[in-house]
Amino acid sequence: MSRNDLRNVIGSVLDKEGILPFEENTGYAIGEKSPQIVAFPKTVEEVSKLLSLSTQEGVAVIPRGGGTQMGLGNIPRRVDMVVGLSRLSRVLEHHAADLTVKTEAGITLGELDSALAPARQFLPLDPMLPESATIGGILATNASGPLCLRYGTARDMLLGIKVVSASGVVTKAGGRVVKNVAGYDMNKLYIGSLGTLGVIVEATFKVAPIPRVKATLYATFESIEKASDYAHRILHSVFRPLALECLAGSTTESIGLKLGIDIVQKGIAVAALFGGVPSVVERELQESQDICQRTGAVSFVTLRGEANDNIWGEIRGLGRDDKESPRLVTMANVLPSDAFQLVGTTQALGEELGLTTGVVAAPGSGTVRGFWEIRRPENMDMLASLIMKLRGLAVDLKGSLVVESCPTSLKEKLDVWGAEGADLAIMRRIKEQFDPKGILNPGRFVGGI
Amino acid sequence: MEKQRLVRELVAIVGSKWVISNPEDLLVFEYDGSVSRGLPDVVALPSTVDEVSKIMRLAHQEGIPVVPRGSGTGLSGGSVPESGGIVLAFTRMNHILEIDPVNRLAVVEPGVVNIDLTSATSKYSLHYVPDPSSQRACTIGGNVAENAGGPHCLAYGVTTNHVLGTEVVLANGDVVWLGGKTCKPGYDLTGIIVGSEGTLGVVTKIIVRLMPDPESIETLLAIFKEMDKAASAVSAIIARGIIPAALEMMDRLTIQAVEPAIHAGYPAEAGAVLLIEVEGLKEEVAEQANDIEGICSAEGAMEVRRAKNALEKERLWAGRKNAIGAIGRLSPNYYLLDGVVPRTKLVEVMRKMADTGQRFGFQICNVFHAGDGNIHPNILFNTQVHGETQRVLQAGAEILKACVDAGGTITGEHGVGLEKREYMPWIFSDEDLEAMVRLRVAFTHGAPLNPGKIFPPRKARNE
Ligand SMILES: Cc1cc2nc3c(=O)[nH]c(=O)nc-3n(C[C@H](O)[C@H](O)[C@H](O)COP(=O)(O)OP(=O)(O)OC[C@H]3O[C@@H](n4cnc5c(N)ncnc54)[C@H](O)[C@@H]3O)c2cc1C
Repeated sequence: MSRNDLRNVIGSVLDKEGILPFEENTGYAIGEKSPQIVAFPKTVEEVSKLLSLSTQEGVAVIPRGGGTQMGLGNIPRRVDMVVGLSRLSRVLEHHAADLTVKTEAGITLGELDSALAPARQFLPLDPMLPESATIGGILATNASGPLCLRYGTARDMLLGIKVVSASGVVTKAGGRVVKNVAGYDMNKLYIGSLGTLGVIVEATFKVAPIPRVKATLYATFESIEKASDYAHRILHSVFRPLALECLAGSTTESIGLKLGIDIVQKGIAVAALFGGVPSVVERELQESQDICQRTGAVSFVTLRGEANDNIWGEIRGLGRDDKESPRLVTMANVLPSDAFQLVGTTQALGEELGLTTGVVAAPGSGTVRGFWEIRRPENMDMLASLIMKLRGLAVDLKGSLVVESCPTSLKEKLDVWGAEGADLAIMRRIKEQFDPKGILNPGRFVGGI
Repeated sequence: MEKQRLVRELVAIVGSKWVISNPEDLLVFEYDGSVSRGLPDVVALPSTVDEVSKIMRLAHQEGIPVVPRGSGTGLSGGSVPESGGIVLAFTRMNHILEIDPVNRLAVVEPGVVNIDLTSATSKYSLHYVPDPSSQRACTIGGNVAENAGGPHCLAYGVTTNHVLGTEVVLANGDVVWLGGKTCKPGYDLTGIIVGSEGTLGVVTKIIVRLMPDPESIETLLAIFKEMDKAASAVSAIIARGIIPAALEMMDRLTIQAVEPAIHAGYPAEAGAVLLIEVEGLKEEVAEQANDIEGICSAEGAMEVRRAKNALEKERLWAGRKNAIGAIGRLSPNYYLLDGVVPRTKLVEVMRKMADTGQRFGFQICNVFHAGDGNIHPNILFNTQVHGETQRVLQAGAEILKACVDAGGTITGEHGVGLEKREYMPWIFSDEDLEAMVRLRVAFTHGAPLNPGKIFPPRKARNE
């Protein structure tokens, strides 16, 4: 269909504010491919009409929430229409006494948390940029943050979902109760499916009480071995930290500088967040300080209040896309026991190549992220070989490595998801069943799905 | 395929000792813990994934139904071979293959009995959280298939929250790993397999997460005159932001059944008891236990008891753990339901249930996971009385409908199976069910793997 035809057809479905002026479309390009149309439906029915038209006409659809993760995935084969969900942003039901909330998918996490705050509740997901990331986008990318140590990920809190299928059919799964085994657990199918199976329009969650107090013990060490020893002791104590992250290389320095607090900016840092009943938090802090001393920490400082909030905002935000200075962000997942080893090798590999390298790891879950600033475009071959080396190391440790963010020219040189497993055949068949014409985010996901 | 040839082929795969085809011996495999019945043609007991794969390939070539079976404690007919065929029993695949205390995970075969896993990990001060009341008999494979819960799933989640990966044999005999010890990109197929009631694939290995034992545990028993008050205490505890590790309720009839058997010392006028457990660091446990005691008293509890030591804790739990057995002594048969309601609707739904019981002339005992809103009404009846089985099913349907009307669902942990497949349209539209059928086709290509389960018969025909 020609661009004008497409605009006319879509124009018959949406109101005026529902279609972005053509000149602005380039701002919604993905992998340097600019869409022909950017649509902002305001009801589930409109989403349904858009998709049924798209399947009929073979229009490639890129669903979009807050746009914080549009760099994730391979370059789509085609980009015809971006469907932005930001106008579907109402909280539908908050049952405070049941600790459940039902919301439209275009609401940002920040807005949702503000709606929950009067009841002293929150959705315990903390991906980067909560003020822009939407619930739909967070679910589609299975985004989480440091709090997953204590609260788990989206799959541990999503109770129900409403999705518009590729052909425009509206289906729901799950419900609003905290236990439910009626039929297949379709919630799990959509989490992390990157919009390749349907467009998420509503979600129901189990929420959590906001911890009464929170505080962080930020400790620095001169070697990975010492930091590892400390982290291991905390994680294998009776304590239940809300989060525990290890920072190395440039991230340690930049966090120190940004926060303007008196913390040592060198070496390896471990930030442990404790929360809950005041007496427990004080004990956890006290005993962790003792462990710091026993494991030879260079320094340690307790952060409370605003300083505490800031440091976690910074740690979470390390992976964000920056248009001014493009970066490479990798995420490896290995066994918790191998996390520190990979922190060391990630840093060493980067330094060998003379690159400014930052590392953040969650040794409780085995996630290790690497951050590299990209100064010159001719570096791309070098960066590609760096990724392949790192990926090889992660795979040797029985893990995997995903490129979360990088310039388009680098994406052309590799698959951001890595090697495919034997289960890819099932994933392909699922995709065929749910999106037979392949119009949703074509080619962006694992194995070219 | 002619039965004798089928038996011969199976014997060639697993050995003659491990194929059951004698009509009398097959009777044991005719039922599970539900009211459904169905006789298999033959039962095979494989010992390796390779044998499972060969059996699946054979069945696939011949179009024979396969029904996986753990211990048969299921309460929805999941392992009942309604249309005959091969029952694949996992009794022999009961080995714990690996315990990794550092990464807090274990790899097990599907036939491992739930309690055996926790016993094996206790020396590392670790445990496997999901603890169905049937944990001395049921298997991890059956738990995975049903996404089983248990009293201690309130704070830490049910089976799906504790399974990291599974090795699965597909309907055509292919063996694939879904998920694993580490996170991998792609669709969450592990999350799909859990709770799929053996209809998408046969699980041959399971990687589970283990949790560290808490520093401190407090167990409380709050006794109420009225069920309503106990139910509002449940809501009040959750609304206060306290998520206990367990929050269980028993009603008057259950208490009356339990007391003569275990002598817990429940007062004769008790209308409901709450069994509440909080765990964590000792400071928070002490504080939460005090808060809970305060809330229960404010809601009108006659008495709140606290266990002072392990022995007393055992005693407080004894009533709950022996409840189903005690109910069994009240009546020749009981029909156990598994509805879920939002916690704040407990009182309303319990009233409707009492009303249904009265109208049908059935006694109903309630013993359930109140903190999750997961109710387990036990309707007492007698199969020998003409028409009573039919009427008990009707009364059950009415109660589940009340759960759905209150915003809840027809099953919280026992699964749909054969028993509740006709009720699926109460909660799901044709389109919702259609999406599930598509998923099934992606896994099985329409092969008869545990046929007849989950979907209303009309829907299943469209596959
Ligand atoms: C007294 C009593 C108390 C109970 N309490 C609880 C409770 O608190 N919480 C709870 O959740 N349930 C409870 N149950 C129900 C039951 O114990 C669970 O559903 C349990 O998970 C079933 O396990 P099983 O090994 O007996 O499986 P079975 O009954 O043999 O099978 C159950 C389902 O699993 C499938 N299956 C079995 N093995 C495999 C495999 N390897 N691969 C694929 N599919 C497989 C079967 O086909 C069937 O669909 C209780 C039952 C009883 C009798």
